[in-house]
Amino acid sequence: METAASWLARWFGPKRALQVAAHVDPGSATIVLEGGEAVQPPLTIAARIVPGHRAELVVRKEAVHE
Amino acid sequence: MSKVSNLRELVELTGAQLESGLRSLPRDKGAPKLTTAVCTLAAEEINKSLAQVDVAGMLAHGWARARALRDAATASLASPGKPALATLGEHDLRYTCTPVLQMLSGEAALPEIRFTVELVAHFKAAEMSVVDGRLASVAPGSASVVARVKCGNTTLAEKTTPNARLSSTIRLDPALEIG
Repeated sequence: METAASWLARWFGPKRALQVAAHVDPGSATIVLEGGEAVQPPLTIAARIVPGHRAELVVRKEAVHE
Repeated sequence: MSKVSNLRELVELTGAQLESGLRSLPRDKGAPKLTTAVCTLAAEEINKSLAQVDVAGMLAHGWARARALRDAATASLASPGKPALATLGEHDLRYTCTPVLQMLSGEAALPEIRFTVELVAHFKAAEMSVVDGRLASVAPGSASVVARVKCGNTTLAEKTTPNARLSSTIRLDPALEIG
């Protein structure tokens, strides 16, 4: 299957393809080409947790020692 | 409720919440407009990432900061291999992490969307065991937990779990450094 990048490169050449790729509409995942034609390449969605987190401790009452 | 093991069990996001939240963000923040279908898929991917977060493991990093552990750590160093116990009274643990949504249209990367997950767990008490100067296990009992998913300053989802049960004893392997 042809990828969006190779598709854009075929239409616009490698340098111009990078500029066109910046005009991808995230809402519809559609690339609108000059002349109004639109292509809808496959949309890949992934989520990850950024490494590193914050864990804080707030003590309200010290323990009662028996 | 059943025993809590991962963050998704404490809060998750629906496609509608994500769509509504992104719409409410200020326009000057460059928030993307996503269709309902994309929001549904994106929310599920965020939820999957939350399911990878081990709740007990992340809370343990907060317990390891307890001052009550310092005396126990000193005592445990005097008796190598033997546990020294410490009790922590009523306390809150606050945890924050940052899920990031990444989308590719074909091979073109779309702008990333960053979220924040905030969690506050309130415990009545916790018994902690220190071995060789490190936190080896925690017996926390149940907690009252509030967890929320935010994008910028906008809260997309919030859930309160009044009686979240963790493992009766959380064993930390490797044991955590104290302080």
